[in-house]
Amino acid sequence: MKVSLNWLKDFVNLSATPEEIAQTLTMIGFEVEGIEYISLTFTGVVVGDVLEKEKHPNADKLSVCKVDVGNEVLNIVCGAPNVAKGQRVPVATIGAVLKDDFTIKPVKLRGVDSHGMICSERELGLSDSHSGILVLDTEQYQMGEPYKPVGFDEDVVFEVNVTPNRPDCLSHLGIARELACAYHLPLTLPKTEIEETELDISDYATIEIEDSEACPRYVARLIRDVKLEPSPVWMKNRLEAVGIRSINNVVDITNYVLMETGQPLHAFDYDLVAQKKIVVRPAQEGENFITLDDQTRKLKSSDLLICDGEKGVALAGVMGGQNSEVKATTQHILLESAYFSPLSVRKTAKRLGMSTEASQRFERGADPENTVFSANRAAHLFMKHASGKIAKGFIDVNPKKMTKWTVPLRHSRISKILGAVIEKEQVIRILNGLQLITNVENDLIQVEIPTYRPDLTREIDLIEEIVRHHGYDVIEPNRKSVISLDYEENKTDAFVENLKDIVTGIGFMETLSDGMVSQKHVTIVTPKVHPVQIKNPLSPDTAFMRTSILPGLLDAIRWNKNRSTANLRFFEIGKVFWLNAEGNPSEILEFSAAITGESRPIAYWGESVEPSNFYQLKGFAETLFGKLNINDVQFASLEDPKYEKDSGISFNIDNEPIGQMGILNQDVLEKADLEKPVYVMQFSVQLLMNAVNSDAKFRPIAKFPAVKRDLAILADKTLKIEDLQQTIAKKGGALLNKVQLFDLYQGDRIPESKKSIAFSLEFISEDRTLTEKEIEPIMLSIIRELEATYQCTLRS
Amino acid sequence: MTAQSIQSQIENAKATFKSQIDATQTLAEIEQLRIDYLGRKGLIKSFFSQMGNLSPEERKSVGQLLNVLKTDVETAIELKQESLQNSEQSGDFFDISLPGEPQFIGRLHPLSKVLREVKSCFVSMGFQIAQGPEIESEYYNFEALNIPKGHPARDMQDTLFVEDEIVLRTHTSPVQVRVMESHKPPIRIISPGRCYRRDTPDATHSPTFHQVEGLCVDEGISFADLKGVILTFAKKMFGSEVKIRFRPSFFPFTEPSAEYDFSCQMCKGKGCRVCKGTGWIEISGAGMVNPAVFKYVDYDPEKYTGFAFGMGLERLAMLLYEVNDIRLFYENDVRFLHQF
Repeated sequence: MKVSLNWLKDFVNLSATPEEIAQTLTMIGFEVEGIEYISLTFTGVVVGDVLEKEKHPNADKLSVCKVDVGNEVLNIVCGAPNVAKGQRVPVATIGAVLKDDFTIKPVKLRGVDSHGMICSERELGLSDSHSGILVLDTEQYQMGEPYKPVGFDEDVVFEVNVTPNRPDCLSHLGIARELACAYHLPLTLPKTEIEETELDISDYATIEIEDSEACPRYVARLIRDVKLEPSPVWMKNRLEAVGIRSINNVVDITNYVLMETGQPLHAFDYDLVAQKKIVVRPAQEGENFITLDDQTRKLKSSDLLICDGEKGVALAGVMGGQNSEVKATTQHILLESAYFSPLSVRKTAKRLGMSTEASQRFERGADPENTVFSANRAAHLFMKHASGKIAKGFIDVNPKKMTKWTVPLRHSRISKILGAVIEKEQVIRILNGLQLITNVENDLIQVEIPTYRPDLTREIDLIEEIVRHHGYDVIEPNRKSVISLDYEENKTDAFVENLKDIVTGIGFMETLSDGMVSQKHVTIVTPKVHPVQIKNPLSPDTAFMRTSILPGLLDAIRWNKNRSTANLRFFEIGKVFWLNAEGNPSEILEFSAAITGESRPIAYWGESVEPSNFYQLKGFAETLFGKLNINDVQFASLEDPKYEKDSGISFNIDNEPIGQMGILNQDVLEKADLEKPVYVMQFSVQLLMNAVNSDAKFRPIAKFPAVKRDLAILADKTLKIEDLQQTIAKKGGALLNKVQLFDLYQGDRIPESKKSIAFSLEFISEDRTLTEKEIEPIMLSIIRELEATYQCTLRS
Repeated sequence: MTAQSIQSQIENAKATFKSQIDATQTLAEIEQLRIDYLGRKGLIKSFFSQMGNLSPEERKSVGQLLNVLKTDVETAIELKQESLQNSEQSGDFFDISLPGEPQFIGRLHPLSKVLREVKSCFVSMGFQIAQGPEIESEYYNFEALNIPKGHPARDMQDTLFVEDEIVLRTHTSPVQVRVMESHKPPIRIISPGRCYRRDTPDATHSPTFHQVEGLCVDEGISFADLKGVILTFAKKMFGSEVKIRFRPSFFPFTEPSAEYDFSCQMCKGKGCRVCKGTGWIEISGAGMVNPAVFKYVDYDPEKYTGFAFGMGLERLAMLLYEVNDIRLFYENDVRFLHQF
């Protein structure tokens, strides 16, 4: 909210600088987000009288004037057509600085000396008018005095962030009350004196409330014979300073009181109020109503409508209606000063997408007791500035009378909450400074809360008030603490951190991608998953929750490829979201990684750099299992529509998949706007974590040397290495410790349908050194089995 | 053969070997030289075989000479072999300035890195790490945090809905309620995680962002404990010189509430561009747990008190690393990621 310093000074005699006041406001919970200085854009301009005017000897359009500025008579050359002898004018003297840093210096104009300048409104920055010099009223301006436009006030405007719990501070009076407390100054309330006329309002209007929940109080005053005209300059200035456009005195007065006391008011044209009657009732379902801004609003029965004897005239607490608006012909005013319930106004304002100065205040909670005070304040101003005649009395329909309440505060509780002692005297001073009445009974302080503080209902609310004004600085940080020793480590978090260390350790870069994605994004790798859809997305690009980490990795790859980095290893760990069978959103923590480009980040002189490949990523997966102590992973082949044919692997533990890898196919890559090849792996973090074998136990290290044998065979091209390995292991028996593939050849030197395979076998015994005699028969039986089952032949 | 003549032959052999080995240029030549001198029929063997004719004293001194010669020759051949091996690989000379084999360097995302620091700081103060769902009910995200339906405080955050009453959590605070529901005090947790708001992305707003929530509830917990914890955190993250400042503010789930600031480390509190001349950097919000929240989890507010605080991870990372645009965190440009 914009707050004018001049306005504040009406209520509290502030002497601090604007910067100090801003700091004070910030430190009592009203953050000042900006300070705007309203000041004249010129210096060195004085009021002068034109004593003589003669035509310039060398220029037709110029005149030479003698201007008395009090202490001297200046010779000034003037180009304005309207300058004349006897005028009182603003004169910029030598050294004066005008708009845009224009400094007045002595000059010679066509041979005549000129010692100053007679100014137009534009030159003074007062308006855009440049039709001639500004001629001043001789009654209002005295010759020889510094020139300052009548009614112009220098002012400072604070942009104050008022938190939603403080509706009372959406007003100058509310902010002034806070500053009075902060600076230990008295608070002066705005003037409300009125001279009432004979005529009694009760003879001229009636008010009925049909829904007292939504409208607990309605106050009205009648002001007759108002004279519509522009507002006085000071009022215009203040309204404009706080960002409200001046319209006419009547409308301006309602707005002025709104900004001053926080009470929204509405002025009806009395002659347009049918049957001179106001009825506050719920709108009819589907009822149309045209608001002040010319919009037709379709209403619901949950909206509260202010009606006259026949029709709706205002949308309660939000905006007035066009049909009863104050206009040039208005003579009499029926002034509404009501209290509407926050929920009712909020519902209507939200549904219609209307946020007005009035609705904002009612939504947060206006003050039912402020209704009469503000009606009187407005009446006072109507009397003074709109020639209004105030009818006797006011109507006050108050079915849900709300009064002040009392909140007990234990002084001892304050130090318990804050961990610092604030003396009772100081506590009382702060509460009283906030205009709260206190009654002390030993430790207990009974605090009377006025209706403008709906936020103060509990002891803790009062403790906040005290520390807010006392300052948090009084609390010394506690540098020691007693903590529970029952510390429970978060296993998932620890596992994820370990996983990140391993994966970054083998050269993967961690990425983070947006959790909200487009529909296209969710179909890239998970076309069958039911995604979680956002009902009110900011754009279609963020209308779904991501269903997989992979598309985010593909985005990251594309982003970098487009910026000339093509050799990439990325991973991300994060939540993905699916609708489960019952249609409820479920969250799965996923870890995915992708590699693409060459197998080194940059070119290497030592060898030609190979492209990344499937077995590289498989090696990373195996390294990961090794590092995590995940044993007994089965690598099963996996058919998945996102992978190229035969490239999918399912990583299984006890035949249950914990993750997978593969080569993304053309279709997926096209959707992601990428080119082949991209190798990916994906895991459920939970399943990966469950697979970790965490109880390592020592096994004795072999005492006797191992015996190694190589086995080179020629086998059918289509045979799986895994099958051969398994056969060897089976036949190798207990003494065979390891079987490792160390060479694989296909090519010219062997038949086309064959591949040459070489295994290294390691035999070991725990209790003896193995001899040739023992190994030989085993090797033979392995070879026989390979020959018999797979038609392999031994290579010489 | 006399001892003298053997000795002079040894001297000759030594000199000859030196000039021969200097002249060798290939591994084959070296191998030949080795056979000539150290082989079974080599020169040194032949010297040894001639010693039979000498007296025991002469044998001893000649033997010593021969042993020295043998060791020298062996060493010289080994060294030469090595150097030839190396130079055969890289041409004529060994260039240490050639680049090493380039490897991929894996790195944590800067937000993960900052989060690790934050976690380690709070874990050292006895805080456990708690987590909660990102798709959350309105009850946990708002109501149980004392933000009832129709409360203007709901406007403080622009919320994304999945269904009626199901939202993308707008902050990590719902974890407070979930933890208190399932645990009795003492409670001391931090909860890092993703949050979502209906914000238009710009240099300081990202619709997906990360927060770290903190909560401590026990008997006798006061605002002074909150300040102690925040001060410790500030010093760990920004150095021991940093100062903290609490300003009153409003959050529905804490009371009294505050915004907390750290003194600007760019200008040491003097005022600069980063802190907009104030000397202070806004970090986030904190306060004592509102008794209204305790009601939802059935804690006795007379017995227990607690504090809660929050912070934006992106904001912390931006301050620590001087990152000027929040969107950089989600672009995954390696030129950015490689800097941390």
